[in-house]
Amino acid sequence: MSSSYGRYHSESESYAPSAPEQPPHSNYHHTSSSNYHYANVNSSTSSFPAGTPQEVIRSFQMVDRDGSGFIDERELQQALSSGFHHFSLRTIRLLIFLFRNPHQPLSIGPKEFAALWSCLGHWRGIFERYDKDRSGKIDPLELRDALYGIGYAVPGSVLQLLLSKYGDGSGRRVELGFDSFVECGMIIKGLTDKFKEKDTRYTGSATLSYETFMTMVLPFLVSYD
Amino acid sequence: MSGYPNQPPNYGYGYGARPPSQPYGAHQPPQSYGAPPPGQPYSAAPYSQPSAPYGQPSAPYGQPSAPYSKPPKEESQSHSGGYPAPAPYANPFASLVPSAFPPGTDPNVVTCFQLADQDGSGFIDDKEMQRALSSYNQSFSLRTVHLLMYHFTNSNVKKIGPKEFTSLFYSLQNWRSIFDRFDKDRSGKIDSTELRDALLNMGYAVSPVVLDLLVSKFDKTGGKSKAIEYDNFIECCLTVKGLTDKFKEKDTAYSGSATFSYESFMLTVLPFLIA
Repeated sequence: MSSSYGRYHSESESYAPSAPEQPPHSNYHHTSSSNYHYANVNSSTSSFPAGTPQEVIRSFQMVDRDGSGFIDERELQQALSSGFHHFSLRTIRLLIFLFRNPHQPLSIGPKEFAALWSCLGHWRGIFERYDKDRSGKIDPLELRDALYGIGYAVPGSVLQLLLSKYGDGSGRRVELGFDSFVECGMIIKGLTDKFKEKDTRYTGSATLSYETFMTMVLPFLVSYD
Repeated sequence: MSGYPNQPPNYGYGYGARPPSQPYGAHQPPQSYGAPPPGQPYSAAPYSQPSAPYGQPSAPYGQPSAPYSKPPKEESQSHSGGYPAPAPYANPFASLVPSAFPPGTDPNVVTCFQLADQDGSGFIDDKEMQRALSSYNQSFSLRTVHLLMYHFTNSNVKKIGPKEFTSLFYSLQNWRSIFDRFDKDRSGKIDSTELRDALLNMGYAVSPVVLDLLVSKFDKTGGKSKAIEYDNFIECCLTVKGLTDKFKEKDTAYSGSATFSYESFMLTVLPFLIA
């Protein structure tokens, strides 16, 4: 386990495929630092990883009305919207897929929820850092700088293509709210990391089998308008 | 692998040829990650690390004491580039005139086009297309429309002319008949096995892993019903066909493997993710 990963990786590494790497001393989670005074985990929440902030547990329990221990996409949307920002169902589906528990692929359990929350906290920190004018939106330049800041030098052509999704066709400059920023960030980070895994010699090129190619790409697809 | 290398004919092209133009015509193939287009300030190593970009190894994220500052050249470069770029609008339709239906086009197709082209521009944009398609007792999402347009123009222009419309018209008929043929129980949805057979019939053999991914991604309910409706079926077919065809373009030796630069990989796959 790499020590360069942030703290949540050490607890749920396999469930956080799209979280940006963060220095361990980072302290820009959107909530106050008091949330890091970890709650004593009681028996009813034993499936949350030790040290999960109370706020996260409360958010989960608030939407898990039937107490099943799992929440579906609408419930996740509600929980995240209260903690972060309104997320479109499209982004929610991407998040569920990327953080899903292989045994419960359609819903999110406590462990996945904690990993997802932590991941979004990191993205929020990046969002706020690069939203220089505090507009609450990230413009193309800020997006480019943000991705560069976390280690992804994305070619201009790629960013331009990615951002064309969010334009209204009028040619006006695109601005991303937090949920679109997260979506863009996770797609770029996820695809780039997978590509790099195949580019073992660091040449900038990778040779992929057809199966690898398809299974690299499809996880990031969301068929939802 | 599903037999791709062994049985190349299985990956035959399903439908009419696409226009040859590529959305990323001019890029230089062997570009590495960190290496930006010429004229940019940081020609750092591939995969530049968080600590690398701005020469402050100890302060990768711009701590308060060491505020992050933008390289001025980067800013001007990006401004001149601008988002969204005009580039894609330049190529595929430059030569098209609104009346360019192929000789012998079915008058029904021409009528459909004219009905759909509500502003009489000679082109059908995404919203017009969505309205036109959705009138036949079947809703189409804008995402499906965008994928269709990408498929028939090989660009992100989000509008199509008469020639592309004609191809699209016949392809939709074709997909409908394939869908009906493989929806054996007439449920209006096709399940995993039916999808596998339908794709195979079109010349695409996908592995069980890919099949599972497709069904979970194109199921409208987000994976609960494990079945795909007609409009999502079209999306699914366009995705499989599009990705496979792009892959094959790079697999010139028919070896079952293809080599992509990072930039070409991203430019190849993103259109299917952002439709």
